Amino acid sequence: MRRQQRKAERLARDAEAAAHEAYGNAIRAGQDLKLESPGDVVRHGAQILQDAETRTRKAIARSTRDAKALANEALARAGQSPVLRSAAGDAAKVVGNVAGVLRGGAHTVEGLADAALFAQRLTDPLDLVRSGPAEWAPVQLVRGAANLERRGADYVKKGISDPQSVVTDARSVAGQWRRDLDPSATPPAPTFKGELQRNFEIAQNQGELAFDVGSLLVGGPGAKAVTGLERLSNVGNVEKYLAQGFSHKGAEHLATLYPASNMGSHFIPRRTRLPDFLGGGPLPKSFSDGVFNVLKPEGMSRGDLYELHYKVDPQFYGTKVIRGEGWSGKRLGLERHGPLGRLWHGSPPPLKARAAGLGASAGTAIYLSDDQEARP
Amino acid sequence: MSRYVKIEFHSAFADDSVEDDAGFVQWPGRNVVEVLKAGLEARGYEVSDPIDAQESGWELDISRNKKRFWLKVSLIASDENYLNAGHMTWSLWPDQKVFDAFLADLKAILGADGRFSRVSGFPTPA
Repeated sequence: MRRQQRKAERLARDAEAAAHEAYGNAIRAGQDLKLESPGDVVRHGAQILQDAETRTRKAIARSTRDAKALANEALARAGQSPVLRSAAGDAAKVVGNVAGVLRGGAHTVEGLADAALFAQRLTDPLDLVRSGPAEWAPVQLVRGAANLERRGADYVKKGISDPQSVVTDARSVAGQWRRDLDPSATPPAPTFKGELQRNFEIAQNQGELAFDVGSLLVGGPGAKAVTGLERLSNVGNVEKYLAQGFSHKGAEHLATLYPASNMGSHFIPRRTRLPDFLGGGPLPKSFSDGVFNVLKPEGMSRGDLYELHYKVDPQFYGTKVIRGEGWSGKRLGLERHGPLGRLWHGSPPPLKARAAGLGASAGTAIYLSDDQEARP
Repeated sequence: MSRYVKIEFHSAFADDSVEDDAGFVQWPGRNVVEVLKAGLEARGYEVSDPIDAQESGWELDISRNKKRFWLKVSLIASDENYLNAGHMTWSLWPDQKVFDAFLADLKAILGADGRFSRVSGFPTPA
């Protein structure tokens, strides 16, 4: 109430000042300005202030329209330049992917590139030839666990004996996925601006798929929405590890679920020590073993976790599987990610999703220095 | 300046792992780091108890004269095993000579025990 009163008093003083100024201007101009009472003065001043405000608002609106017109003109000119068009298109895709990843939530298994690759495989009719019946993308999707494992295995057998049925099932899902994810599946937009928007939206969907595909492991929205499609997982896929040359017992062990109680891969290594002036001890356990630092995707088989660990940790070479049998990344011919790949694939999903690269920057000095191994 | 070295070796150490139906209760390699711990302590280092890094291996935290080191032993097969050693002292200008001296001690310990063989990867000091 008091504030309103002070505001009214201030307005009245401003109006009076404006009126006096107008009166002075009128006299100098030889004009006759009749203000016979204090009320006339305030009313005249208030009108002057109102007129000034209206002129200002119109000027702002005009400037905004002009600015938009200039931006559209610049966009149209950019669209005519092949170099600028290509750069802008790439930028729209990258920005869209990042936006999609952030939009999609917290879970991904193997990063944006791998999830987008899987989406492409799902819609590629030649994938059956390239990957073989056991690793065909639609078949991978139905491989599941527990009592679903049997259904998955039956589905695999059915798929091998009747591939068309799997294709039909996958297509009914993949059709919409393809439109949402594959730029070639929808016609180009008629304008460059529209094309940028189309690429941005598709890239966002691709980004979000990274989380949806990962969330299939935990029965997330992707799994729930699609009937008959279960986990993207090698839990239970003994055949994969047999094919890698492990004994039956070793393959069975590698195909089991990576225990939640195991430590996974640490983005900032556990061996990292604080400087002496901060106590010199290890990093706080709450951070070191927390979700922002530990890469341990849910629903992953032991074998797959070891592969991921090998690719992102230059100091992990392999391990014993069972007594008398070892797992070696070198012997399996695996390739490690480079520094940028390690930053992306090695950072836990919450770190990626929430820090959007800030966490990677914070860990870079420690993480990348692991690369500096002495050569004999 | 290198902060880490990767040593490869063949191992004739007995398998000291303990398993149950779910997997390893004790991962193999503790006996290897126990040998390294004893050797480093005999040379004046302070060494932690073996740290269980599960499938990554067994680790030791080591210090001497306020300098910190770290090592990890990963056993995979009799002819494929790794020893990673790192210079962990926080410093803008890490002391390479101190790390070289640590590596020389490590090399001597491995050389004195016949269960380590085909050892490679120790850098040549500058």
